[in-house]
Amino acid sequence: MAPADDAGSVLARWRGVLGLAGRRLLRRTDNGLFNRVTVTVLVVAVTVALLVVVTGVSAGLASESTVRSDAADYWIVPESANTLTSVVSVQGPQLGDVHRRTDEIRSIAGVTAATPVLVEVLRIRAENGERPEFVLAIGVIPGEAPARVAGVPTSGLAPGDPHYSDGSYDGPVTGEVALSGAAADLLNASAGDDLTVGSPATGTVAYSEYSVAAVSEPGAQSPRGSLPVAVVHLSELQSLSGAADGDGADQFLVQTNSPGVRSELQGTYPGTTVVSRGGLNPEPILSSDLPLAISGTALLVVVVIGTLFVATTMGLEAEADRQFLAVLAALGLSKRTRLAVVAGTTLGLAAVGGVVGVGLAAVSAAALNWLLTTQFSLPAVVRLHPLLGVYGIGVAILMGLFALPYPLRVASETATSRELRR
Amino acid sequence: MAPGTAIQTAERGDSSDPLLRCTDVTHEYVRGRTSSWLPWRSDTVTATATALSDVSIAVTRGEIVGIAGPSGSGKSTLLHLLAGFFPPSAGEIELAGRELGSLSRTERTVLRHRHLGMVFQGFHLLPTLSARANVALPLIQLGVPRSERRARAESLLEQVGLGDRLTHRPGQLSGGEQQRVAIARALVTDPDVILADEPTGELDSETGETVLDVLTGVVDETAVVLASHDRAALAVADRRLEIVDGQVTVRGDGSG
Repeated sequence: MAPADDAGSVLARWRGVLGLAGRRLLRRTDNGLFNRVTVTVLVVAVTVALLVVVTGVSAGLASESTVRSDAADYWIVPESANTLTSVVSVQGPQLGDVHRRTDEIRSIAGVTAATPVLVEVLRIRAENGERPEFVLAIGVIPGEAPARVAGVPTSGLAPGDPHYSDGSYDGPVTGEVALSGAAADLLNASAGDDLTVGSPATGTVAYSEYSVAAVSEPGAQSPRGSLPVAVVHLSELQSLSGAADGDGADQFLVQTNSPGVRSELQGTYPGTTVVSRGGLNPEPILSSDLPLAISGTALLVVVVIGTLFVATTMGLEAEADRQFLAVLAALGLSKRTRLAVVAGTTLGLAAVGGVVGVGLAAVSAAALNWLLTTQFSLPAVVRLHPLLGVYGIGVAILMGLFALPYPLRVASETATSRELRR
Repeated sequence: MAPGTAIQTAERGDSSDPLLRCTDVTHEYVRGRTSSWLPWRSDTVTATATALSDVSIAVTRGEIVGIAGPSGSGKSTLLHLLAGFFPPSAGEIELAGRELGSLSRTERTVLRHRHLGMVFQGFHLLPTLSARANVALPLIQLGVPRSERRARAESLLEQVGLGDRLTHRPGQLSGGEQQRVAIARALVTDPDVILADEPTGELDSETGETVLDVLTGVVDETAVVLASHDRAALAVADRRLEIVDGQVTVRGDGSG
């Protein structure tokens, strides 16, 4: 009987070889749950799960989701501005035409809220106050979606900026002021109180046009501490402070749930830079290679450990299976076919370990994120993507490939005659 | 071979031509090797033992050749030489017109697959495969499609009386049934010669007889070389040679 060499026969041969490899793998699981094959699968699975989870943490770091959960904030500031100007305007360069730009930025997919921010110091006196107090006034264009500026929610202000009126600044003045808790304490004001507002920069004073629309919860503080902050509509602050010419503001605040927005924001204004919340730190995470280093190290460690383990166990399997290989040789199966059976078993085992490992990683990541968010009030740290599953299985197969030479060598050294006599 | 299958059949020569012939075969194996541990001393002393000495045999189609002898006499060594597991130290072994000593290990494996079937004392069936899959196993090498492999295996299992045991695993079969599965496996590639090494060695006498009946039943199509120390098993042989300490001491027909 002669072998056929057409494509169909070759395919049938390799299907037969793979089937035999699978049977060989199953044979080793007949001895109960804890045998060499299942332990190897478990070890590969655990190493792959570790790799996927660590890479998921790295992905989270890289996308900054781990430092801010779902809400990522960006500031668009003039390039010559420094961190201080993002808190208090000190006569730095301003952005112009901000109302029109606001509409553009809000139309970017993934942006949940965006507003220009004008910061001025105002003198405000409440109707029950003893004297005027200096308060940090922040002019914004409130959106429909709830947002916080300097820790003060803008939900108390009417959405939009009616006074702006397409640049004529003759629309109705809402007179709405949202006060931080510190500002309300300082001014002795509460919701509904009338306010007298004056601008030291221009000398403008507005009597009884403003009232307290909302006061922040007592516990809610500005991220900068217990600053007295008053949030008003942008155009009204522009009119008070003289920034209406050129429709100016100090910066833009953009809230988004999509880190990819950053690149689109960078093209909004020439001569500006986009700063993330992390970007205000001395060493921003985004600009470092930390996530890449972590995932690269994890890959190296996992591949080395996994390869050594798979090579050792599959070498022992080949050693234990020498009689099986000798029988195949005696039946006339070629060396290539026999080694293909061993290779198929090794790669199959690694692949099964990879699949189990990806499943284990998904469960571990969900458990870890749940633990951190619910028990420790921390943001989720692991960000899994479907591609990480493919990555995990691919790495497992890579471990199998690297491990192959040892079991193949053991298998190729099988002495048919000696094994059959045993 | 089941009619209608697409499996190719090896050409068969004249029935009087020996299918398998060994001439003056001697085999020595290495018992130990002593080398000097000094790197500048390359001399090595090798101790050898002679397993077979000047054995000659010719096997033609339709006959059963019995090889008798006690354990350790060299029967298995002779069978393994005939199977081409290793070349002889001296002499010639010719299978299907090719001299095994001149072939590489790969070429010997190919030749074995095409022209020989093997039956072992310990059956050597794969425990996770069904009887049918065990029988079909050698056909994987030929690239025979799965459906044809199954049909061929089922036909042979019916021939050896195991048509109702197709899906049974070896662990679910008796010793005699396992050996019949092994014989079906040896026949699946339609070999010229079957080499049977103590095929009844692990069976009781009644089961052994059944297995021998199966072997004698296929001999019209092929030739059988039967190595055994069991005189009852050797009774089915047309010719018999006895090996003692690696040397042929008696030749004769199967009557004795």
